[in-house]
Amino acid sequence: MPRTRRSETGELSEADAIRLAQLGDPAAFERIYQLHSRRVYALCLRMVGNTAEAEDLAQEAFLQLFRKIGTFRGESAFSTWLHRLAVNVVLMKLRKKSLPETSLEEQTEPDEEAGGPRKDIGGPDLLLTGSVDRVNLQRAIEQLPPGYKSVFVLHDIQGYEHNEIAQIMTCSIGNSKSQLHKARMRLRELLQETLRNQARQQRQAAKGESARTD
Amino acid sequence: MSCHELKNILSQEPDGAMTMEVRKHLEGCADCRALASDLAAIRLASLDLPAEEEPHGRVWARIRLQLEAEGLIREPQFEPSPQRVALRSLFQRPAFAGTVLGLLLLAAGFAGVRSLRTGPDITAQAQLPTQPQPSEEAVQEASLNASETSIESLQQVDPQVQAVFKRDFALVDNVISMCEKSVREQPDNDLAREYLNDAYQQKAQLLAVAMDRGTLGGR
Repeated sequence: MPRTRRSETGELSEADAIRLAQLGDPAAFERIYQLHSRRVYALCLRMVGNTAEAEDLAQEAFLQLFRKIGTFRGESAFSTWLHRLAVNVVLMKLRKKSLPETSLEEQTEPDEEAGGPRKDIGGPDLLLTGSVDRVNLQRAIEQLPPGYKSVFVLHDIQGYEHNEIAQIMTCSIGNSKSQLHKARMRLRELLQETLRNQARQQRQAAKGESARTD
Repeated sequence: MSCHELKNILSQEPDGAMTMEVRKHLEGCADCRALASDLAAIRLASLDLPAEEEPHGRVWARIRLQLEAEGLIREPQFEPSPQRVALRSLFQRPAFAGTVLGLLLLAAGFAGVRSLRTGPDITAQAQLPTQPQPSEEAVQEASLNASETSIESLQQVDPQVQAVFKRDFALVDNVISMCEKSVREQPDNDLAREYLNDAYQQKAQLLAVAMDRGTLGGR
């Protein structure tokens, strides 16, 4: 039996945990969970926006993983395999909720094919530089279609490269890049709308103030 | 470069390096410059969002329960080395266990018979387990030298008794050999060392009986 490798704290390496989990070792299952639960849960949380659902989805993703772990042969990175399971679990859930979902193969959105950025009538485009705060960004991300959201979370938040996202999402690298760009464009629109609403509210508040003082 | 071409480039390579052509267009186009700036601001802000979140402990608890319910969790199984499997099976064999027990009873029997006669009390010498445990190295050396001496001392003894002792020596030597190999291969294996020490003790007892028998000259 090959020697198991342990960290300085005596914990199993991922490779050994996988091997032992395939034999049904409970400590190995827990070790795999320890290594990956935070990223999987974060992905689920960003996708659905609430903790209860995110916990259910993370739980389901790990259960599917552990049921299938005997089939893992190491052809791809383990984390890639796990994230693929997690994304599929999330997207299945969102489909059942009948949220509008953008297929990864969808090529265009009408506004992007226009000559320039979409303009709201009666309001200037506001530059986002220095105005994108965390709360507004998170709210905007929650409004993204699932397909865009998946790629954006995996790339811009969790730091996966496009070749990894292509494996996770079962799409091409070109599609991953295209969907990322569309996600950012949509976020731009949502954030600009938020800034315009805030600016409008500030103007109305200022008008009300000046009317009272007159 | 047109605005449309710029957007195509951004779509194909969202984080690609800016070419001279792209820079030149941006210098002359306020709308595209605003677009590029906004996309960079979004990219920068997203870096502040945590890539990881700690799930509540109940998530693992539920997973664990479900795994147990589905029978996917099994109690840890140590994968014994082939030598240990062989050793265990040897000790589990009724014939071997019986032989060892027989040797011990024989040793006790000789000690008992001897004590009925006048002469030096060899009980204490025969009862190795009650004496201070010899070191592993001392037992090993004694074992290596004693087998031949013991068998030689038995040459004047009843051939049948001699054959029994030869067979038992062979059995115990085989066990010692397997144990020594286990310890060499797994120096940190305490169980293998324990088995080895037990085997040495059993051989020491057998030697004591054989030498005593030989000394007694078959009486």
